[in-house]
Amino acid sequence: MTAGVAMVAKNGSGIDYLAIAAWNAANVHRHLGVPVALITDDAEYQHPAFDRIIRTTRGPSTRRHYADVGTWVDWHNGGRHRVYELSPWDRTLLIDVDYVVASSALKPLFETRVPIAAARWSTDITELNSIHAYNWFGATKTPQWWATMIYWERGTQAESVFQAMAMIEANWPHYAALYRFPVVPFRNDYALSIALSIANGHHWDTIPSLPYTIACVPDTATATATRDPDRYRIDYEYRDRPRGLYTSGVDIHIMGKRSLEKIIEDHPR
Amino acid sequence: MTTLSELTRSQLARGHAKKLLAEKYQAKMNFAYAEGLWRAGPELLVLLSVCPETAVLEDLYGNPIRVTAAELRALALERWQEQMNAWHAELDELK
Repeated sequence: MTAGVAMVAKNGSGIDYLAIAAWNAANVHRHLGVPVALITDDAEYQHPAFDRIIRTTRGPSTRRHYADVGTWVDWHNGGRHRVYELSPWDRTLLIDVDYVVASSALKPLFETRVPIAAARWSTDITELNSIHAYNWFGATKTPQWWATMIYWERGTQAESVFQAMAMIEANWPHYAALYRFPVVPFRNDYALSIALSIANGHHWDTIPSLPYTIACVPDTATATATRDPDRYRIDYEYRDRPRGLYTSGVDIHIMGKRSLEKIIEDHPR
Repeated sequence: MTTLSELTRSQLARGHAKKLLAEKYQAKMNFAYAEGLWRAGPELLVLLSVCPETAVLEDLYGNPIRVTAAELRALALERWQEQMNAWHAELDELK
């Protein structure tokens, strides 16, 4: 039975997601010791950091704003449901390219069996934002599972969830109206959560969750690398006063893309 | 002389760092056994101490899994102590 990490990267609007993915793939190799597959729409991209590169067509895109980029950018986040058919592994951990692996905490997952599970909780590492803003969505306050980190074993149950995601994406305005959230932008987190709910008969408490909290660095904060490859300094402002903290050996989800690009430039893997 | 606001700010920063450390080591307590996912800690260790040689226990995914209590206990104890020691050492550096 094969096991590995999958990442989806599609460049656009001046953010080099492919470079971020390659850099993070090296982190995965170092900490988790599993192969990494890249799923991309770039027909020619090659990088030795990836054990497999799977080409796909570009899916639908939307637009989103990153505070550190300072402008709206194309966000090619559609078609994520295809990762089930595209992943070459029997057991796959799908992570966002900007989910920086800095520890071996996720390593035990690859020896476990669960049809499909995703991270349920996220927290703002700077504590600037209330946790409630992150972990429920829509006026219906539906619990949100995070597409940042999904783990599954190839089989009927996982396939059903991804097929449901495809259906939800194809009928997005309907689900936006049903769960009462903005129709723009398309959110994989919402699609995944609704798909998990459908696949579990809307019994939220029976949906398996990964026992990891996603530590988010918001795009209003700046992450910088230090001499230790797994130690990062996070600078942010609270009531117009500068604040800082360090993370060491903690997996973090760095939302600010310019931060990541600078880290990669300063500390290539 | 440290003002009250300076003291509060430094305690706030320290409390924040302490909380981040706790979350870091909680994640590191997870380990795999018999294709299930478990959290090393007092709860699991105490449960295993009252289990017969083989038992069926619920893992972190909510699945019932047949385990050999002594084997799982040894793994859990090793993981727990290893991470607690590391946590202790890192917390000391904060002081």
